[in-house]
Amino acid sequence: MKTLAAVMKAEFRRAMPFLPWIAVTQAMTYGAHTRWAMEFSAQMIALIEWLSGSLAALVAVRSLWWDAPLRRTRFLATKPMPILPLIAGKGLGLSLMLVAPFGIVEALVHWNLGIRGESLMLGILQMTLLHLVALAVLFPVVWWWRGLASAIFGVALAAAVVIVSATLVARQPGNLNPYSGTPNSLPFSLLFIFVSLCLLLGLCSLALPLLRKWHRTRFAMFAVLSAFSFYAGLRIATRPPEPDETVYPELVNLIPEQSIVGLKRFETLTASVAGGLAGRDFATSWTYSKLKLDDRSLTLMTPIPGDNWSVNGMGFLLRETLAKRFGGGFLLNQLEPDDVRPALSVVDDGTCSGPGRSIDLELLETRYRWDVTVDLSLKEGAESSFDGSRCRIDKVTNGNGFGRSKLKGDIVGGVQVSFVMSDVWIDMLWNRKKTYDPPSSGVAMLVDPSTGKAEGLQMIRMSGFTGAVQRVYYSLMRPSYGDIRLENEGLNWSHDLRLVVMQPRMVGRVAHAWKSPGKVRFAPIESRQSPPAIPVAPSGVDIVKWVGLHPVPSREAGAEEVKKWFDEFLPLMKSLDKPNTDHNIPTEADNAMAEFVKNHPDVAVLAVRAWWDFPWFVHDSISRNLPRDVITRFPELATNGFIQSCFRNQGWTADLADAACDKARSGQTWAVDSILLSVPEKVGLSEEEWLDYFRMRRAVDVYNALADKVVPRARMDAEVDLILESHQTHAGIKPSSAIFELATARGSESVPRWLKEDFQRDIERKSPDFLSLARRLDACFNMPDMDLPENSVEAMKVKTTWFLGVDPSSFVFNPAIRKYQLRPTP
Amino acid sequence: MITIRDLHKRYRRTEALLGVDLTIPTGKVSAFLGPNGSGKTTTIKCAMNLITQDSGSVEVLGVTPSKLKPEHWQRIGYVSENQRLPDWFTVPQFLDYVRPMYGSHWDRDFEKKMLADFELPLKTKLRSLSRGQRMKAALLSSLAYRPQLVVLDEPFAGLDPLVRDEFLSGLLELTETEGWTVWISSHDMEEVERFADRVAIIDHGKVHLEDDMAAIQERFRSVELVFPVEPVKPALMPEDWVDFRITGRSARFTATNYDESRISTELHGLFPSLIRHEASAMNLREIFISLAKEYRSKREVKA
Repeated sequence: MKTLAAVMKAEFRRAMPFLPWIAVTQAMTYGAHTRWAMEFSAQMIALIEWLSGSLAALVAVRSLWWDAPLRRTRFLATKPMPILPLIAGKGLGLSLMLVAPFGIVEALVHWNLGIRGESLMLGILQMTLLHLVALAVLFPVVWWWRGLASAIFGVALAAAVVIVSATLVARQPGNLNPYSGTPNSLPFSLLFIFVSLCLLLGLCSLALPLLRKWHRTRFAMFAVLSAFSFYAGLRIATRPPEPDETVYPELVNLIPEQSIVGLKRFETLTASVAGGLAGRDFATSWTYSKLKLDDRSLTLMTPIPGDNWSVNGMGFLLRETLAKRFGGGFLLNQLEPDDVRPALSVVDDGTCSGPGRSIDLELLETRYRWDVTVDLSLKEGAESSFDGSRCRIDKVTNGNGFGRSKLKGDIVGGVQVSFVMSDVWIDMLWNRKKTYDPPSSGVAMLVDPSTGKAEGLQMIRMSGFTGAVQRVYYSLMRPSYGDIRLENEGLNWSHDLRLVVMQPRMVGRVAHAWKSPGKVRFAPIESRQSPPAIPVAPSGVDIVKWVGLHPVPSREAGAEEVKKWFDEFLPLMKSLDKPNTDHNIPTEADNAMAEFVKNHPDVAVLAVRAWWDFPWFVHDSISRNLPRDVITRFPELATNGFIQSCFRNQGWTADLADAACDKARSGQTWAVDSILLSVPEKVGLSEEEWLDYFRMRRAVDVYNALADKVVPRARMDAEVDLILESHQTHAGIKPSSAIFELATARGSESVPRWLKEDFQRDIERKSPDFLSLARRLDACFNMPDMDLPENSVEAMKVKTTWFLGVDPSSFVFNPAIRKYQLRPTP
Repeated sequence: MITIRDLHKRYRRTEALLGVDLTIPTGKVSAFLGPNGSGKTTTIKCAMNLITQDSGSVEVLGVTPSKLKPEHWQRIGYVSENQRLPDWFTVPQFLDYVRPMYGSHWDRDFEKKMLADFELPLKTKLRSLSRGQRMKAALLSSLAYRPQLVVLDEPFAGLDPLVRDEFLSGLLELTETEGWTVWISSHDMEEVERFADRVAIIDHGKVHLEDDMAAIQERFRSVELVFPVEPVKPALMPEDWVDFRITGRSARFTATNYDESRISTELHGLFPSLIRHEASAMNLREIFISLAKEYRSKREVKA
């Protein structure tokens, strides 16, 4: 005990020259999170926090290095100092001097910002634990080395590999923020860094021959333990979130594509499933929680430069939330439309294609709603509290903004808002239901309820780990913002605006699990590269003579021989393709081509898109001569678009039905869509499978193709009703065209209203499209008899004027003619 | 107390120790002498587990150095001129830090006495002390617990003569009264001669001489020979004659195993014209220099 106390006292005495500076940096950290420091930039605050962290690290490293047990030149090498009191004394001393101030400052920051209760306690725990972990990591990092050179080398190597590993872990689908798709890495990465460091230090110690020589057993134990801890850490760091329920869709869509990232060619597998009916109640986001090809996981350490996160319905739900609160419809800029399909990509190096692969995947759907957490009149000093957090409008200006340069179209005005929110994530470690929910995941808006317009504000997240003071600067209303389309023309700054902040709240997670029925063979869609031109034929070669000398290879001929023949024949055919001339194809050549197509249809079909200048008359010859048994002989050609069009033209589509069924069940409905929709009754999919197909495509052509053919119309209508129910909107919000068409096919009462509001909006924008409206009226409405002028343009105007003059609720859907008509008067 | 056998140590291309054999007997003061780079500090570091030997065996207090536990270190006092001290402490703070490690072994009275004898400033940080004062602080921290084995690697560096004298007197007294074992490496032959019971001389990684001080003083003689004319060095001489030099009509050598009855016969046998010879006792410094020259000339011949 006395030794422990002496070691602790020694730590304080050693650190004495630094203690005033530690106090100064901690005071600066505290100051940076007070209202006094509102003008500090996020970078400035990050700098201050890093400064205090670095100073603490310097003191800790200096202390640990001085007494590192493997350094034989240390003072304690010849002293009777037991290791346990040394570690305990150092740990306690450094914790009190270096870690405790972080916890105290955290408590003061929370207290000063008015955050109390559980958030305060968790904040202190988080900050203390974070720095204790850092200190615990420093012990092995600094103590493992005998000399400075090996320490610098080893630690640098460890740091480099840890950064790379942590980045990979942070990008695992399970570690993505469900609201933003950004890595949600902090707690997991910390854990991962810890175990990785243990492993890496073990590996680096191989460079220490003395250690290897004298501590073989110890090293072996260390290596084994490191390997286990690394594995455990990896499992924890990459574990997917726990779903509330798991559903098993009948069909999925898997699209393999070739893409080039940097200098490397990748194959991307994009998956989508039925579901994700985001809408009035919740938005959804999607990630892969599992993807295995032949039992090899692609989600573990595969770099994912592609899109492995997608969100569905966010913009829609925000509009709905605003509309519910303020009434009327809202136009939002800076928000994507709501019809984003849940499609996720994962990239692999050439394993999607090739021989057949068994696929086992699970897509995680996170459902969340958007709550209005702040709604304030835009007046200086306005303040509101929510969930232990606070928001205050500090400054509103009408004149010059906050120093930004003004561009044409800008509306000068600014608002400065301060947010006080607790940014605590520590409870994620024991509460797997919890999601990382940083304050920045909210959306701040300036809303004009009188006009139904809203403008998104940028929320700036304070950096660092401490409880966050959020600030929003918005100096200029800008009509265009990067690539984002602005639907309204900006807010009128003089009106009575409101500041509205909406934040996501998770309501549940659903896993969609699917396994391929067997091995799936993919033909990845090639990246869009220009195909080459057909080589020029040698001059002076007559095609007729050539055909006479070179008989068409028989069916049994080898692949090399077939390829050689066609490679020589095609340029000769191409030479007949001359502009402004009649294409007089010699009969011998035409016959040779026909015979070749019959013998080797696969080579001929695949050649069609291999060359950019493929002669049309050869194309025509292939389609005329294609043997009907081509699919029997080459089943993989069923997904070929050219084959499908040829079969459709010949009326043989039904021949492809079996192949299409297999393809659909193996996740490739996208490749056989035209077959499925042409002859659904011939395709052997079950009713449930067809419904999943419709849920994935949700389009009117699918509805029309399936209803009453393979699925009873009542069931199809029920599905459409579900979709429409989730998209029932308040006045003024235009649905997507797919929803509009489905609603029309179903006879939704909303259709006349949507159509009228859409057209009125166009008129307000001074860009009315009379022609489009008239076509829709003709297609969907049973117009009453009226005297239409001869002139079609005039007739169109009469129709649209009549439609705009009628109350939308006067229309009713007539299922017999599947059109809207005026409600019969009683 | 310490037994070293066939100790080898190599620093990359340099062979530092070439099979050192050495015994430090209990209760005696053993001096470890050798020119710079001869391997003194390397040998001591091997014994103190500060470096690891390549081969050979070392036993300190009955265990190999790598097995020395805190309870062993409570019985060992080690001070080296190259030792790094926690220099952010003042002397009292330094002693506060070290004291608890030794528990009841620490003698506060002895500490106070040494503190007074060494006249160390109490409010100055170690880093601001002179080299000699830092050495005194190190000695104090390593002797106050009355260790059974004291290992001192060049301890007199920077000590003023008065303190050195007092320190040595104290050390001798303790050695006699408490039976301390002292192993001390030094260049200071006069001081070593005063207190050492045994002496070992190392040169180029090998111990060439190891014996009791009295025996060495008894064995070593400087013999001066006088001739009528300048003599010729004989091709063969007894092996225990070293550092043979001729200067005009006289010659001089060191007899490492002097025997009055034997040497006269040997001298007249080798030098019939010898007029007279005279043997005189040698101090340790002379013995060391004489041996060092002999080793060097042998190496030159060998090279």
